Amino acid sequence: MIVSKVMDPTTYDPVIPIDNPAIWDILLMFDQLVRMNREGTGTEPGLAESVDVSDDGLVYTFHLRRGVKFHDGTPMTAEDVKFSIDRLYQHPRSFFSDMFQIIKGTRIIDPYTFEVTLKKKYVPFLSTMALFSASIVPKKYMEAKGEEYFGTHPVGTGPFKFVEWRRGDEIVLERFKDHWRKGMPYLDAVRLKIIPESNTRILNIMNKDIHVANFIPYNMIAQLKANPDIDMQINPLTKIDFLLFNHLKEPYNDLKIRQAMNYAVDRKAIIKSVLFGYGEVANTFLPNMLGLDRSIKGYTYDLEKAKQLMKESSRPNGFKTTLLNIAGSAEYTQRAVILKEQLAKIGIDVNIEMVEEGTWWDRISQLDYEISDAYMTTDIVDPDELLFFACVYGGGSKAYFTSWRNEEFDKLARATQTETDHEKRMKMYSRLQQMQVDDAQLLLLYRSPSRCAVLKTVHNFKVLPTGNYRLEEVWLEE
Amino acid sequence: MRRYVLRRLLHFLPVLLGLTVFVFLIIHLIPGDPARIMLGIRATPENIERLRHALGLDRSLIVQYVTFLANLLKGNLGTSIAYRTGVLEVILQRLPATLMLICLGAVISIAFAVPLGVLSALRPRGLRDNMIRLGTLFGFTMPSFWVALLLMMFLGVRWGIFPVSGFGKTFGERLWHLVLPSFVLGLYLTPVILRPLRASILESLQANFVTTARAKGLKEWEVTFRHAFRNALIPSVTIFGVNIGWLLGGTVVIEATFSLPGIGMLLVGSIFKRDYPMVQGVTFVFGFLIITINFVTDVLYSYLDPRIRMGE
Repeated sequence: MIVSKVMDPTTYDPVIPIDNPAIWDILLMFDQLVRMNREGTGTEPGLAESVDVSDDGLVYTFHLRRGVKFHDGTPMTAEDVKFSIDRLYQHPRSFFSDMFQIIKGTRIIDPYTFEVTLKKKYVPFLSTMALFSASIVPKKYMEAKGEEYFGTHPVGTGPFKFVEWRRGDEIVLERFKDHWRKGMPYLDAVRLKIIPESNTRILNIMNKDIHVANFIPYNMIAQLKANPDIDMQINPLTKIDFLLFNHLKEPYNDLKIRQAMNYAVDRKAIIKSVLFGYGEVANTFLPNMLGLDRSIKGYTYDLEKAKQLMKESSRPNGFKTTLLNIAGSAEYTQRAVILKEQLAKIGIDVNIEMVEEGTWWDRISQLDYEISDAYMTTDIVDPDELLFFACVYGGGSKAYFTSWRNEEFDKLARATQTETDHEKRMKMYSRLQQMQVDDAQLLLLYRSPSRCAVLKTVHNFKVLPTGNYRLEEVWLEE
Repeated sequence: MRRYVLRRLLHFLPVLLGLTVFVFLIIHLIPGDPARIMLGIRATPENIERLRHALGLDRSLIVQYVTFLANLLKGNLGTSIAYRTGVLEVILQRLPATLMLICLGAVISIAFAVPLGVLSALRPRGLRDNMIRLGTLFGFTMPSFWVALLLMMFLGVRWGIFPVSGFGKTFGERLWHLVLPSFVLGLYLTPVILRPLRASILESLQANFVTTARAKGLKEWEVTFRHAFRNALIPSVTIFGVNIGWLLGGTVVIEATFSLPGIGMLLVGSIFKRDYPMVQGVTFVFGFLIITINFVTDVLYSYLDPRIRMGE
């Protein structure tokens, strides 16, 4: 099967990359102790058959599956698991190491039992263990060959085995015959072809040169839907778009201004013209994932209310402001223009400042902006990562660099990390989402889906909410 | 001739040095802190400090430049942040696609431009001349990604003659995959060579030595090719040389459209990944190629026109 990729991956050493092209391939070649279920609502067993959690929630004991082999034929044991997990939180280049600093220590009990002790109780722990970075690598192989070599010649336990990587052209994987999920995968080989141009991807799939073309532009969906050979899949994705308010800059320290702007934006109109209708109004800060409370009303378009709030605000006559806009994407450019028009109706004169994404990041992380484009996607099943990144002041990113601070909110957010009762924890999340809406921390916009064109001869293919895909159950019709 | 080449070589060196200064400065011209930008979402102060140190950004500018130059002389272009391997290693893996594309593009443009240029010049302002000039102008003015998409759509998808995109494994496969991309590139270059060639053939045909040749009773094709054409080639070579260098930039769009694993694509990808050592490396290689091509053109020029080296 031939699947298109948008960019060349960077490295296949699981703890290093941050780019999706590398992450998604890692997930095809490696396994983790637990993994996200197909629906994206929780975890399911991976290399660990079962997990015991101590009563105080501090000790996690993983019972490893027996008879699992790495692609080089060596058996997977607790020694490899300890090596992999230790790298994850101790390696100097481990990109997500901050998410695992909660680990106090790891221990091998016997070749098939592995134990992790946490510094303090942390309910989302299992969910973070499903992260691609927590992939299990063979200790002996990596030590013998070196990390740099491993990055281009990876060996895992996953359904597909690495064969060849022709930089900028394609990556070839083949079926791992000794994979522990008996009888899987079905495909003999997978070729991951790098095709950066969306038009070229579309022409390739129309020509049946490839089986899967991802990242279809919104304006091409209708045409591909009409093609009898193509199944145009629109699936939920854990992506959410919003604007940031810099709460340190006037007048964004004024709640009425933030609320007025939230009421003044007609999100449905934006979704209709920019996303061709393929999107959902964001009522809270969470993307389409565990913890999202759809019953919260959020802000619906109400121009009168917005005008009224402006009158009562610190700037009754309106003001001028600058929107920091990420350049290079038609979606962001079109959106900015519509927002400018919509906000002008309540007397806000928006100047659009386009910057390259690196500069954008530099500017917002220094809080050098007034309002700015922003988005997020989750890497794990649990909403904890996003909650602390986007809304908690002490979460390391000053609440997505808005500098929003709400003591009560932060306290409740911390409480979710130790609440073991799932129902109660989800209720806490609902409360948090409502509080965030009430305080209008962000100018919420929309949630957008994944858009993937798949030939109809391909069966069981589906893009997961995290954007990647699993191929072990996929098969091709002759 | 040898003295002339030596002298050109001496000009070549300061330009090369200038290039190294420019490439070195790339990382310092980025607004903001390159280390923070590279690390993105998880840039903690410790991580930033570590990366700054690894890139040598915490040293003085002069020290950094001298280190950069010393490494360059050893053939070391640094280590890629994203790929975690040597910059030069990755560039060398991806250079063949770009070089093959440029060479084939150049061959195609010459194959079009030379006969068409001669045909145009033989009957200036006639219907044939106008058609040729107008037709090739189309190739020049159409955006290359658009022409590429049209070719892919018709010759690739609809009639299935050529592959839509990609590069292939064997040399033969690669040539086959490069037909459409190099055609697009060649189409662009054709009028650039054709117009000066036509003009200079016209000029040559009116020169005294051509009248003499005709008076000697030579056949018209002999007059055209032996006498007029050879003299007319000189300006075309210069223009060709200048544009070949410039074409390197044009390959970025063509590589992206046809998914060719060349260094143009590598440059774009590295900019997105904020892999600055790689951006520096590719820019240097591009610059080096352009300077080298210009040097070769100059030498070739002097070979074709002895007056240039006589005038030293």
